Amino acid sequence: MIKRLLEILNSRTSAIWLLSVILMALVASTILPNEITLPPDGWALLAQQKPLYFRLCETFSTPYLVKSPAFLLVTFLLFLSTLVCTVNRLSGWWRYKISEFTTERAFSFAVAEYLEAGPDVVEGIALPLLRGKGWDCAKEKDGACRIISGRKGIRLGFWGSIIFHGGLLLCFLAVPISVLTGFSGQLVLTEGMTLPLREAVDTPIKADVKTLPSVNLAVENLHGQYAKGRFKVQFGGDLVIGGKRLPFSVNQPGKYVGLQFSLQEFGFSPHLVLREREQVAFDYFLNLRHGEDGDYFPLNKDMRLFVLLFPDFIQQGNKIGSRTRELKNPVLLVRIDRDGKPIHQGLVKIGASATVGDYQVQAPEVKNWVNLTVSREYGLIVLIAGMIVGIGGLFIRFLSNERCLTLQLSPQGAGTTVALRGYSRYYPAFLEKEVQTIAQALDTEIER
Amino acid sequence: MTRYEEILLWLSMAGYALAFAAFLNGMVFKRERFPVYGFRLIIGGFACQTLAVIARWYATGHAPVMHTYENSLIGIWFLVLIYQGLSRWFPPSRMFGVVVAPFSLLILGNGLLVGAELQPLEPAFRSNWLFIHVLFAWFSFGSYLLAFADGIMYLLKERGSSGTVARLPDLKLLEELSLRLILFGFFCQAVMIGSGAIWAHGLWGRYWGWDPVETWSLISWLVYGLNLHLRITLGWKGKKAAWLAVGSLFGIIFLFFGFGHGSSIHTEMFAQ
Repeated sequence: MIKRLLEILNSRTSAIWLLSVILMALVASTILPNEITLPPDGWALLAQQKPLYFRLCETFSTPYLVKSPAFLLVTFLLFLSTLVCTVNRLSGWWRYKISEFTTERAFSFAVAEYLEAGPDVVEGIALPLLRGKGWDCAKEKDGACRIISGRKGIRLGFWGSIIFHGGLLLCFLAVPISVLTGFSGQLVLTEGMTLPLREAVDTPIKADVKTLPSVNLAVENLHGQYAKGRFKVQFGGDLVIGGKRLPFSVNQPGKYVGLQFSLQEFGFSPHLVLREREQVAFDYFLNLRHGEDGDYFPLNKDMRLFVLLFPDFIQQGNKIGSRTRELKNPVLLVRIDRDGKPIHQGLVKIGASATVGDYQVQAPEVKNWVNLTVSREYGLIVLIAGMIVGIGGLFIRFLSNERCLTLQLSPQGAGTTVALRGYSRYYPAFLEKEVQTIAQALDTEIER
Repeated sequence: MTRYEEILLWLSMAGYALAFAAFLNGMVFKRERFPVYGFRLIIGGFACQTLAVIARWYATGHAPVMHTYENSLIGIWFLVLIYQGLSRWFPPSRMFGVVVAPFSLLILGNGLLVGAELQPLEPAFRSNWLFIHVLFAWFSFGSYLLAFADGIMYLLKERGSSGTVARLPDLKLLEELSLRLILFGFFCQAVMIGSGAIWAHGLWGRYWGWDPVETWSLISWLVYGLNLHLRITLGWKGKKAAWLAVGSLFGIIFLFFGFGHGSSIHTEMFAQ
């Protein structure tokens, strides 16, 4: 039973079938939408309007399919098949200590001709000619015959393939290491507010939070830089965690005891206070996510607040807007909706107050907020190692076009019979062309 | 884009359009000089495109590697560079211009339609890994496209052998050239995926996330891996191998134009 299983796994046809199944499943899965390809509203709408289709997407679209037991099983079988094939090829080499090229010499091509010059003359011309074309030559005598043998190209094609598959196996291994030991969560922080890491982080697997250090953290000195007032240039700040200050920016994550803090989102956070008959009805820093469209916040049971920040406010007649995306002249548009319908609206300059309907609205200051991805990734080292090994193997395999030739010179009358035979493992037509070119060049040189 | 860049880009596109007409004329009406003119026009178009790339680089202050237009501009530059390199190493492959020229026009046209506004380098793109990622991406796509052209030439030559088609290389040589091109592209795409994963880890805190672009890059790499296995291990040859080279390009086309099939983290790398 095990022997039969090993035979199946060792078959390259099985590997090709497994790869085909994975490919077809992946292609089919990309047709279905998911949380990545749809905005959050669209995904929620799909769940409401087409529950059956939603269920299908939730099971078979790519991010879900790749976690399904069937897909994982096929991938595991492909891993086993690659492992068994590679080990088998290696053991074959170990047994005989010779490469596949020596045993298989897959393709050969030969030409024979008579040249009107003695073997000494032909040898004297052939050797420099071949060496000039990059052949590594050796000569020997076999009775009256002279044999020139040559080799060209890197002779590591077999090893290139083995190394590539070894790298691939390491990449396969990186996945379970990442899944079993990694951590990933989101952290939304407003500038200057200190929070305990374990409570602030939002992660799909709550139990993982216990693996995080029990420390407080805060973000400070958040800054954004624009070119011409609208093109993003640089965003970052300092992460204060466990008594350490770690600068971070886009592409330059902060690192703390194996955890990486990568900046994902950056936005304005105005402080908004609403008072109704001298009573505070609303007092929050609002992390605005949709800078140009505005955000909604619940005010009470029936009412909600719509807030839009103009960082560089401008008004021309009835039209209002922002000149740039930089915080130069910040003004808030505050609208109060009841049952989805606007009832009051007003503008509040930052640092000032205004009356909107029954409310006294105050906006004392604007801070920034950030969304950081917190991650721990032990699989990355294995993955990078696998990639380096795999890419190295592919490079060797690409460069290696190992081929050899023999030139047998047999005296015949006053001349020489030349038998030229080339061997190649990979490219027979190019070998044929090369052998013909050598034969022609030899002809031309002898005639000259 | 700047005025100089615009003029140079249109000149290069005119060069590619005329080159396509010349190659097509040569093949259909069996005029043997026309492919020679076509090759020269591609060189002329390439020279103008090189100047357009320099003009863009100078105006923005960074290598043109950001968003669709810049990727089209630099990508086609690499494609034509690889085509010329191949033509020098293996002159009969000049006829591949009949595929390279219209494809260049298509990609550049798509880039222009999306928009060519001059922008400074966004923070998400400020990584050395980006340059490795983009460089190898275009080397691999260029190689795959030439393998596709090779497959088309094989199928044409296999059907008939008169006029310009008769001057195409021997079928066996075409078959092996396609294998070499795919092998090179496969290697370059592996570097592209590897460097992309490392860049993604620094940027998003994870090396793989099954984003549509990531998924399609893996699919297209696996398709070419399968292609190589079918040819080297199972010995697929001749027409089957040529159809494989032609069909495999669809994964790459879907990868390039696939943004329309839903949003991707690749289109908005850092939100503000």
